[in-house]
Amino acid sequence: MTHPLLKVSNLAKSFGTMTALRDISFEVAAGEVVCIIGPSGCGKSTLLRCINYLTFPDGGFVEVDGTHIGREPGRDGKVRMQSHKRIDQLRPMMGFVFQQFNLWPHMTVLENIARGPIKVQRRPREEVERQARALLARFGLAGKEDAYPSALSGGQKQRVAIARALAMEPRLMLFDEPTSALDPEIVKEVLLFLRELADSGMTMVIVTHEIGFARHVADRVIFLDGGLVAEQGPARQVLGDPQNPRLREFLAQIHEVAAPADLSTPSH
Amino acid sequence: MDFDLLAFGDAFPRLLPAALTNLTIALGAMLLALIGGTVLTVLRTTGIGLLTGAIGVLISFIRGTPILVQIFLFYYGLPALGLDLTPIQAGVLAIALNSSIFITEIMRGGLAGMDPGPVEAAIALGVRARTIWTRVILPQLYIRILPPLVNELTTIVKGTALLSVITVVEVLRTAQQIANTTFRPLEALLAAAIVLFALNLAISQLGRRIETRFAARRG
Repeated sequence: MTHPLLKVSNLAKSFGTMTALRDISFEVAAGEVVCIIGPSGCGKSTLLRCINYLTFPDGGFVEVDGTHIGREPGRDGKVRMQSHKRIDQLRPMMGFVFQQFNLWPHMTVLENIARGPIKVQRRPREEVERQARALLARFGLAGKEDAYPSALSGGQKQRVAIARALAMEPRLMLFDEPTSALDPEIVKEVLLFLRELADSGMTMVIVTHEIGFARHVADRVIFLDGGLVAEQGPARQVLGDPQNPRLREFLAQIHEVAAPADLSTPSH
Repeated sequence: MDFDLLAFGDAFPRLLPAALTNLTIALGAMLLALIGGTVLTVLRTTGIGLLTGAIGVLISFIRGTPILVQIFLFYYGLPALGLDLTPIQAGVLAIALNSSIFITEIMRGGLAGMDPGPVEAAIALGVRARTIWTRVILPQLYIRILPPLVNELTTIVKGTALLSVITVVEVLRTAQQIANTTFRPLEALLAAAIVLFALNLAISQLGRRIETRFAARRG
């Protein structure tokens, strides 16, 4: 392998006088699962949104499989911003899963999954629907094809949202606190599901508060604090033997609040 | 009180065909108003200062003047500008413009209360802005604003009666003609009111049905 699948360099973003991201650099290799943790307001979500340009960063670069998205260094050394059209073309390389699912409420489950590939990738409806049905079956949602999102539980909605992103056949998946809007008893169901996805070899970047999940599933953990990468490394090392005092404090607080979801038992 | 039931009943056979004129005018104006309201709404989100400023002036003018005056302005004004319009055409345009303004205001309110999440999901999938409007924002918006929208459509039907002042022979003008020959204005006008009310009842019932049908898709 010559280059990482995702390369983030010197990413910076401010909102007015508030600096969300100071200078963020990290890489994700193909097949790797990286969890991003950190206190509220540390810039985790902003970072994820800047990676696929839902939020435009002020500085730095994002490369997916060697291709720049958004800001691009020109041959003359000046930074050029790609057109919206170009950015739209590149976005499907990354699947994005939201905390609030963000399904399209006026479309059936099947349409939610099929619309992207049909509209954006111009793939034939028949093939796309076959793929969508297969995804639903794999996600334990067979029979829900014609249901509207309002008829689904939170966990089901999130699985549909993940299926919608996967239907575009992305190179990697970005998850923005995928379980934070779920009822506690459903969190585990979705986490087990994410673990399965990770086991299938999907490259994943997950912003999460589920430290137990990060410990069991992530290859690497990145701890953000104050818009900077405060600590990163293999999950066991970062979570088991944290060096950064802020990370220690953060982990202690998390453990006080809730016992992490038990993921030691396989799902099947 | 002396109410002539016979004259009341006799008015209907002449009013019902006239109602067809109101219905045609109303449907034409509704279609144009929906298109106009939607276009104005989209234009107002562009953030182009001159454009949104001009639309703002138009909105406050239309909201601040009586629709009856607007109808006269279209009837006398457009031919003066060289547009050769029939009274019905001028009337449809006047009502449609008036209603587009109210519809765009309803739509703006609806937009403001809408969850930006589904739009972000579409952006993340690489869906182009135009498709996001036609496939994600507008369908949700229409479902959302259906109740006030139906209300506005009934206002359009009521507005069609105002075209009687620019010689359009619709329900109200027909009722006046009946009254002129029978000398029974109350009977003819009450019959006219019932005919227009029936039209609006049908529209609001239809609206309620659509609302029920789309309830699951409101999210």
